[in-house]
Amino acid sequence: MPLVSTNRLHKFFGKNHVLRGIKLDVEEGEVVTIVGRSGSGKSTLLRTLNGLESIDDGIIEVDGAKLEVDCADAASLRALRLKVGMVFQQFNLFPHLSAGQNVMLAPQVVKGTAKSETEDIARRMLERVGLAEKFDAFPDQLSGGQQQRVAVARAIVNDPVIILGDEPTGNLDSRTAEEIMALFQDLNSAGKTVILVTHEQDIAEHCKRIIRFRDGHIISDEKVASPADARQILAKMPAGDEMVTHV
Amino acid sequence: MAYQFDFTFIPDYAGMLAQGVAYTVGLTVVGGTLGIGIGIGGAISRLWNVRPFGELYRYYVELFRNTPFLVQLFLIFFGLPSLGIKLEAWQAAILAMVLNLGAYSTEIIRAGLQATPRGQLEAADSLAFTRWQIFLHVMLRPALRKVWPALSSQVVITMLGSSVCSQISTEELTFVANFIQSRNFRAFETYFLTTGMYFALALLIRQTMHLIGRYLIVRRPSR
Amino acid sequence: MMSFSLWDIVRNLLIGGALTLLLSLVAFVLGGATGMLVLLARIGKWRAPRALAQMHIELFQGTPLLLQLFTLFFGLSLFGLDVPAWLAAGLGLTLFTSAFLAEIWRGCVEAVPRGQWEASSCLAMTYWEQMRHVILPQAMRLSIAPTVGFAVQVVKGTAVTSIIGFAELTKTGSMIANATYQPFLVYSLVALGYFILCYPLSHYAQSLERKLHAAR
Repeated sequence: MPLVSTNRLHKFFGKNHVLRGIKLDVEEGEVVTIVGRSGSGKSTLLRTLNGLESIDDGIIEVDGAKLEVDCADAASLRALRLKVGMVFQQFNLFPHLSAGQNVMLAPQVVKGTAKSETEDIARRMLERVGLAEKFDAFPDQLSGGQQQRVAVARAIVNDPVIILGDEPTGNLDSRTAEEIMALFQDLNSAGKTVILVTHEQDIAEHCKRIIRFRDGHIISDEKVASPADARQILAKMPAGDEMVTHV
Repeated sequence: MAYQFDFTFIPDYAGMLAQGVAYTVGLTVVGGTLGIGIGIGGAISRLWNVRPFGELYRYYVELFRNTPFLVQLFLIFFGLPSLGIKLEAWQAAILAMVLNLGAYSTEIIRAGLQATPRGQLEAADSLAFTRWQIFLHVMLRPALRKVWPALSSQVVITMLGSSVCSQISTEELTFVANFIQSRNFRAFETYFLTTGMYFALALLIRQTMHLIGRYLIVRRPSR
Repeated sequence: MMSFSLWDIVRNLLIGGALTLLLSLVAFVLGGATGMLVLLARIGKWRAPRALAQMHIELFQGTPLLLQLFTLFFGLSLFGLDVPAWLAAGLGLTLFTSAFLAEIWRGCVEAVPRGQWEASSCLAMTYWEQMRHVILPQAMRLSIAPTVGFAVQVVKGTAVTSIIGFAELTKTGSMIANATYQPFLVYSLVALGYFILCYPLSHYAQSLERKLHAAR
């Protein structure tokens, strides 16, 4: 059984039909990249997977947690979100909390874990993203890449099975972007399933599967054997869907 | 509760209430127009530090923003005569409103002017605009557009504040209400009704300011 | 006729000024507490409290303070209550303050970027957990400057309570002006009294504002 499964997924923004009957299955351990031009609906799809956007029709199932239309009660939403971690383009760290506190907040508040224990957890998480020494630093004292590492640590603190990334390297220079991608690969090796939205070619080359998105539809869905293979798939993009390549 | 509400006095006093409303609107229109005028002058003097106006405006703004309108009104109406300046109640009321709103709008408009992007000033400079041309053609309209909501709120606040002009016998809406309740002994009903009328006036003025903003300031060339 | 020395005038004004200060403090503290409740209702999820809070805010922001005081004063006496001026003044200003502070604070809550809501949602926090741990702490930081700024409006607002007979600074001033026939001097001193109370607050609010802008 697939880990993530959506069926007949529809979403409207007013009159704008942004998701038009999406059917998508993702198996455990995959690294999936969704590409497409801005406004194609790829971000919206990602955001429906943890309930950031409600859906107008269809069903989403993540590791046994279900989301249906009109059925997004608090308990099922919470169950879903504990299974899904999210990393944003703008990092979205909490500016009034230190890096460590950013990571500690969820276990402390959501799971009710004791403070001493959450501190240990947070230190382990920050260590895992290579920022153990920045525990007490505040977001505005960190570089973009460091902030995104903290955001990744925060996203995995609930021990989710899936990590979503919405253009996670979109605000970073190419070298830092590579480092963040390496981080996602580490997480994947450790058993996490990763789904990324991007319009950067070098990011898409890292994945095991590329889904192309256009006008609310999936227009292709192909397994990737190697970076060269990925380049070939991305080269087939129709005009207007060009990828950005880092120089 | 045994009390019976009685609003039957309204028809008898409808004409007076209408006059009170007209008076309040009149005060607001004159006060608003002149006040915003003073604000524009003040903002530019402060911004360019025009001597000696920039400095004078600074004291004026601080003085009027840090004292109550009621005290300003009393000082003008009761205090100035001892300096030989005798004003009618309506003149004192308008003067107080103009000066009060002028102080606030100076600061509001100044903030708008200061927000002019530097690139636009440089572009205008490079086209050999004079300082006044830059002010008129590059700075003023976008600044007013930006601060129009704040300015509108301030005009509404000034209108609501004008109710204390009843204390120097300016025959505006609250004065009329005081008169009516002294005749009909229905103080609660009278003030309740008047409060509702002010509420409606506030909406009306906000709407009018919105329209003025839309047609006078935001107007763009038609496509 | 009694004769007043300058010191007599100043001494009486100081007493009035103390009452102005006291009334301002009471209105600000109680108004702040009430305003917090109004805010929570206004930004909460339940429809009826939200509508009530919005009505409260619009009514008190959209009508003259003087008329609020009159209506309250005469409205309470309909219940057979003999309302002393200080009570009507305190109650009226508290309600007035609560409406403005609730609206100011709502603006601060809304100024917290949407990403903060999203990031905390993704961590499976409930609405109130998000409010308490993520949104309000940030909104609070934004709110300090405008809140201090509004304190100036509260102090100035107390002057209106002189009209319903509360013997604060302005009322004291009127009485002395009538007794001494020196209205210009007396009202100037009254204005000075308010200025002494308000200017430091205005100045502090402005410097807080600048600091906040510089920090971004």
